Amino acid sequence: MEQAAWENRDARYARQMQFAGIGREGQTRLRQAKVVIVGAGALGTALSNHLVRAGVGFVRLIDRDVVELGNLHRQMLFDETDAARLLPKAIAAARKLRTINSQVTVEPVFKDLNAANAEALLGDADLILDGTDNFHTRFLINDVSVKHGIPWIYGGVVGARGATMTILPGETPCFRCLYPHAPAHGTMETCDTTGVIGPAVHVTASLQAGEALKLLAGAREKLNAAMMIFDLWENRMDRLELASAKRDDCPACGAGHFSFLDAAAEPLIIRHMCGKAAISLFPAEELALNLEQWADRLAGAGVRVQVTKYLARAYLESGLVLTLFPDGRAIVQGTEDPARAKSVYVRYLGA
Amino acid sequence: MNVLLFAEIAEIAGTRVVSVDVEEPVTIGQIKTKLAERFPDPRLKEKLRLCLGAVRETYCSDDTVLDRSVEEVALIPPVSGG
Repeated sequence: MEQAAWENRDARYARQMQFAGIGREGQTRLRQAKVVIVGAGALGTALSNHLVRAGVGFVRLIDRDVVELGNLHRQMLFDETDAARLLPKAIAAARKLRTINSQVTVEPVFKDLNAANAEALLGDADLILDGTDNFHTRFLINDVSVKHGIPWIYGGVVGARGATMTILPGETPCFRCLYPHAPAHGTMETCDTTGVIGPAVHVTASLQAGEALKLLAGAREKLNAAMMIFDLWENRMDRLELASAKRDDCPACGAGHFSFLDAAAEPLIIRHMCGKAAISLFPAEELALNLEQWADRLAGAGVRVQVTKYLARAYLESGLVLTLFPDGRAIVQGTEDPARAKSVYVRYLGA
Repeated sequence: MNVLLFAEIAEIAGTRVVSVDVEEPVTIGQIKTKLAERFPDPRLKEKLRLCLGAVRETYCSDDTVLDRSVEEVALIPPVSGG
C-alpha cells in the first residue's frame, strides 16, 4: 500500500514535474512547504484548490464565515449541501480538498484573523496567500509578513477586475509602501456592493498561485516584480512596475511600526463587515460557549433559533439576525451600526 | 496633461481620459487635487487618495514630480474584494 502511494505520487505530479521550472526538485520543495491561506471565499477556494492539487505539503485555511447560496457562482469548492448546512467555509473547503489530494495536510481554522491571533496563525508559514476581502486584514498580514520575514502574495478582485502583487519583505516594496493609510469604511468597492464574476476571481487566484509555485519551488528569480492589474470586461491587462515603490518612510517596512498587530485592550472587538449590512463582534479573549444551552435559553424566551454543530442563529424580533459561534464570535446582520450590534451582543451574551 | 482613469473613478467621472491644465513641474498629488476640484463628487476625493499613480507603466507615489516630458498619467484604484 505504501509502495503504491509513492508510485501514485509520481503519477499524480508527472506533468507538473515534467515542466522544467518545477522538476523533481521543485516538487520535493512543494511537498515540504507550509502555506497559510487567509480567507476561504472566492480567492481562497481557488488558491487552495491549486496548491493542494499541486502537492504543497501543508495548507492552513483560515476563514470566519459560513457557506451561503450566494457564494456558489464563484466559490468552486462548495455545493448546495454545504450552503443548506451552513457549514463553515474553512471546514467545507478542507473536506473537499482532502478528497482531491489525501497525501497533503489541510488544516481548516474557523476563526476571524485578528491582531490577537495573527502571529500565532501566520508566523510558522513559508508563504502567506491573500484570499481576504478587506484591506484591514491585508494590513494585518503585511505586518506579520514584514515583522517575521515571511513572503505574501496580495490578490484582490471585484466586478471583472483584479490585481495581484508579490511581497518579499526586505526586498520588494511592502503593501503599506503603496497604501500607507487604511481606507475609510464604505469607500471601497466590494463584491457585495459591485458584484463579481467567477472568471475574474480565477484569473486573480491563478496569477497568485503561479507566483506561489515559483516561490515555493525555488525559482525566486522568476517572480513578478510588477503589480498585475486586469479588467476582463474591458479587455485590459496592465503591469505596474514597482522597482521605485519601496519607501524609507513606510510605517511597516521602513519604520518597523506594526500598528495592526497592537491589539488594543478592547474586550470586545467590533468590525463592520465590508460591503454588508452586518457587524462582526468578537471577544478579545476567546470563549467556549455551549450553543445548545444558549439556543434553548433564547427559544424559551420565544426567539426562533437554529443550531448546528458550528453555530447558532437567532432571528430576533427587531429583524436583526444574530449568528453566534462557540468561541464567542458573533455576526449581527441587518445593521451597519456598531453600537446597535454591540447592544444586541451584550443583551444576548452578557457584557 | 492627460490623465487616464481606471475602473470606478472613470465611472464616477463619466470618462476614461481627462485633460487637466497644470504647470509642470507638477506632482501626482497635485493632479489628484485638480481632479477632485473638477469632479466634485464626494466619493471621488477619498477614492483618489487611495489611487496608485503610474507613468509609462511604472508606479509613482503622490510626491513624484513630473516634468514636461510626461504626457500621460494613469490613476488606478485599489482592488479590495476577494
